[in-house]
Amino acid sequence: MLFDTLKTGRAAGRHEIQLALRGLWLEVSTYPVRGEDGAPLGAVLVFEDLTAQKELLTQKRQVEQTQLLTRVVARIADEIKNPLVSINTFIELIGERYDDPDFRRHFSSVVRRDVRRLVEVFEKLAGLVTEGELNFTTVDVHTVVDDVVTAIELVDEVPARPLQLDVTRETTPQVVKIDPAQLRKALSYLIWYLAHNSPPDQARVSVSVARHAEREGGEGVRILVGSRTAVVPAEKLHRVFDPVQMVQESLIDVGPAVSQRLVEAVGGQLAVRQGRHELHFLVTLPLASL
Amino acid sequence: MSTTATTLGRVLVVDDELGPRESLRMLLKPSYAIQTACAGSSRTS
Repeated sequence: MLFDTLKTGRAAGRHEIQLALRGLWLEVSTYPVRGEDGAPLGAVLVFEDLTAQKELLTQKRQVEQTQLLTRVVARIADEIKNPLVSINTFIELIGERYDDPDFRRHFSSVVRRDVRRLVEVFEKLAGLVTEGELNFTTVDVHTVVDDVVTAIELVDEVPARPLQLDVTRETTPQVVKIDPAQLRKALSYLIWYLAHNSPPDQARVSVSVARHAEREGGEGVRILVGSRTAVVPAEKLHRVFDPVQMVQESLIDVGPAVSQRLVEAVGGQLAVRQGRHELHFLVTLPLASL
Repeated sequence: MSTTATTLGRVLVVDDELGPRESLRMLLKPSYAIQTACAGSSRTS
């Protein structure tokens, strides 16, 4: 650097190097030195020790990571605490109350619902951190949508948050090569996200399947999961696929981020759009070559 | 005349989640007349 400055007369600034000895970080700059008449006299090499700044930055990053981990763990603990408490209470009462029909009815619905909720929490967390094994098979995408609707209608037996689910289909089979289990999960999380962000008793979600021409040629299948009742602030929607941001808010809200991973894992794409009257997720899948 | 309704204390359980609401109702049911609601503004059941 010094030679270059001597030769060209130009300053070279702020090159960072780390010394092998003690791992010190240095910032190195060179400047030309000129006489009063502007004639070059030489060059200087300036070292600035950045070690303390680098250590501070590392410490700051570690603190931020710890804070993030704390928030994520607190959120997870919060999400699983309520179902565990209610399951535990029902289990403790089962001996003395089993003969009470009211108890048996609520045991069946509440415990089943809360166990399912816990399973979903762990599935989402697993979906965020692992790819899992994919079992690709060629299916009509309508069958996957039908399975999702059936599963959601079963869950929707609890009257606290009824969900109106409308499905629009293509007239012909739309064959895709995917892992049906992963796509089912992805679609379920999107539907529940829209339902959760709708006013209670008014949740309405539509799912429509349509064939479409791709820009690059060829054809694909679009699955539009939309809702006119769901309301999500624009700033929240902006980070809806960021799992690190969303996991701190709610494990229901982390659903779309997991869905995106799952959809991409089966070769598709997932986008979100806020229309004038409808918020919708758009799943795009390539058609299977027959 | 039934004395149960008049002698039991009344408790209103309010929680937005079904699980905690119903588990608390089951826990208190033998000793209190329980009403539940899922939100402050909702009707009791």
